[in-house]
Amino acid sequence: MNSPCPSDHDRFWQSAAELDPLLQAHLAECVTCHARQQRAQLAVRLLRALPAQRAPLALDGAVVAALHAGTRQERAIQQVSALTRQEVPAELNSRVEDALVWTAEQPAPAELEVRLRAELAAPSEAMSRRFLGRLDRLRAPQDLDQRLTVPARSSSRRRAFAFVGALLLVMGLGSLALQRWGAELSSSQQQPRVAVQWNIEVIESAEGLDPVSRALIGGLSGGASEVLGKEKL
Amino acid sequence: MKTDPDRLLVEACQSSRTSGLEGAFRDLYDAYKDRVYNVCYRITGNASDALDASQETFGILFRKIYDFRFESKFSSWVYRIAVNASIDLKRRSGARHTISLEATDEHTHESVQANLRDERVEAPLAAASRHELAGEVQTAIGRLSPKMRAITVLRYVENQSYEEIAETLQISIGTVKSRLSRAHDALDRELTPVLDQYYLR
Repeated sequence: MNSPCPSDHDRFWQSAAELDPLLQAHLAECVTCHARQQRAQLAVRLLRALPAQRAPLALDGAVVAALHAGTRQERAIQQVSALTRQEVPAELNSRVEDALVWTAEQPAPAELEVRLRAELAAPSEAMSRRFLGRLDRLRAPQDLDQRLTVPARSSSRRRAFAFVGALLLVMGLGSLALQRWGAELSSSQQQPRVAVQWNIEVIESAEGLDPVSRALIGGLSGGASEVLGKEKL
Repeated sequence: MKTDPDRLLVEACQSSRTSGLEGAFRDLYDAYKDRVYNVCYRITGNASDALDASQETFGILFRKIYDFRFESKFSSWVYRIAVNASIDLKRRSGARHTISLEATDEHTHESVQANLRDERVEAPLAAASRHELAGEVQTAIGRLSPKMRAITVLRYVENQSYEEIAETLQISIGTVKSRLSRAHDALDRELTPVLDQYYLR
């Protein structure tokens, strides 16, 4: 009767001389184990038959370089370890102590207590304030500048025109009234009094005024009337 | 206790502090360079990395040989440094995964030196380009984890006993056996297609 197949296949890698008689008997009967043992023995022979590698000539040079590098490294380590240890100057101790004392004596700022009281009194409000304060300040987009400057410029120009126009009208009426009043006064001294007639004249251009009125308006408008007058009122 | 065969050489190195590859250290280097390079080559899997690992191994040997106290066999210590240097190098270059042209070239030439005496191996090797098979075996070793790769190389390439492997890797014999057992399983998986290709067709 056949003996059971060994669970330890490692024994197949042993040389034939090392195999125990029981295993040898099993191998003679079991084809599977025999094939497996033959394969293991073949693998051993192949491994042992691998050709020995000879060290290449390049190894000599590489080792010489490594040894010199190693010697230099050792010498450097010796030099470094031989360096004298520098004593700590006495002044350093006092400076460190001063620094530590200064740090230790830092009192809590009075504001801390105020903030804490506010925090405890109204936690949600304090939290909101704290977080709102942290919100990033957004910068106005460049479009906004453009949108605002164009209408502002045009409206201020319109206002200037209206102002100067109204001023010219008032001044024109005033000068006419003065002229009429002067004429009435002189004629009333010579002739009997006649009824006063108002003659309203609308002047659309500064150039239509007499020089005195024009100079007056120019002075009141800071010279704007002269500039605008040229552009056409 | 047996005397370390390298004791005189090591003591000569320790007594004469040389500044480079000369004197007693040169003798030590000549005695070990092929063994160190071979282990490094089989663990790293290519000539370029093997050269770097060997260089690092001798650099470490040179710096630490003065502290060696013969608490283990000197050769075991050398192998340990070489194995660790190779594994470290593979870990460092693991992400890169470059293929050395030099290594490829060596793969094509190495099996010319193969000395397979067994008839069952020799006949198919001759028929199916031996260099390819050696390359396949090296590839199978390369697919193992670094620890399993190291133990496989020490066991089958360097022919070390369980005790020597335990001393080299500074692990117990039980760990050697269990780790080797896992390496056997992995090698079985890796090599079965190769063996089928070369021996069952």
